[in-house]
Amino acid sequence: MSDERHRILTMLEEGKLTVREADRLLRALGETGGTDDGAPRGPGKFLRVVVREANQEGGGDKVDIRVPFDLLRAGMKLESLIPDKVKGQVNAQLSEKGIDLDLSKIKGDKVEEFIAALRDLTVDIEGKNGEKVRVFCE
Amino acid sequence: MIPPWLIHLRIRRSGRRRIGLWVPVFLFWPLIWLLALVAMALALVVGIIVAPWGWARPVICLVPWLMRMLSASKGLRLQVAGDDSEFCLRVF
Repeated sequence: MSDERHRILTMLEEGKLTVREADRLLRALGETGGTDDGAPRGPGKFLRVVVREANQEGGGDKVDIRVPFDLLRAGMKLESLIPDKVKGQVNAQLSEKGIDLDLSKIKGDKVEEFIAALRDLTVDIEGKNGEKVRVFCE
Repeated sequence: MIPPWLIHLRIRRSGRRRIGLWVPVFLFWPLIWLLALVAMALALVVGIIVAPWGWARPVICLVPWLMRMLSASKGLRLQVAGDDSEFCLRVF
């Protein structure tokens, strides 16, 4: 049983929630993350970035990128190929540009953690002129 | 580490004929593996030479990493389309 499901049922048992409220929360949980048995949903395989610029005729530019997580994983492991001396130089250059990123801290488990976190990522932006940007996992 | 099977490239530019190209990468697998083996042998030699400067690991691991990137690219799709032009790359 997932933590969220357990918490909702505990609150129901304690009388903090009505049956109807608990039912609504459990349904919402099922739609967003959990499965029927309460286990977390399996990770998606791809990161999608979709950008659409709608013009007055209904057409417009479109960018659709689908990146496999395996490729992200392999790309991030490039860090292990960089010698320590070079890492220091890269960190210094990144720091100069205002990017606070320490390459030596990108380890295998952190990469997995980052990719697992991407599973829940959803960015949905709509501009004034109808342009849309969506970043999500599938 | 299995390289991609197919690569599909589609390019459309305004006023020009559309180009659609299916590359049967699986036909080149033996060549890819052969090149990778040769490159790995070379990388091993170069790695030993540059070891005193701390570059042995990056040089030796480069070819396996490239092969891993290549095999992980299966499923990649890049599509950029305008009103009268399009670029699409799909890896299967």
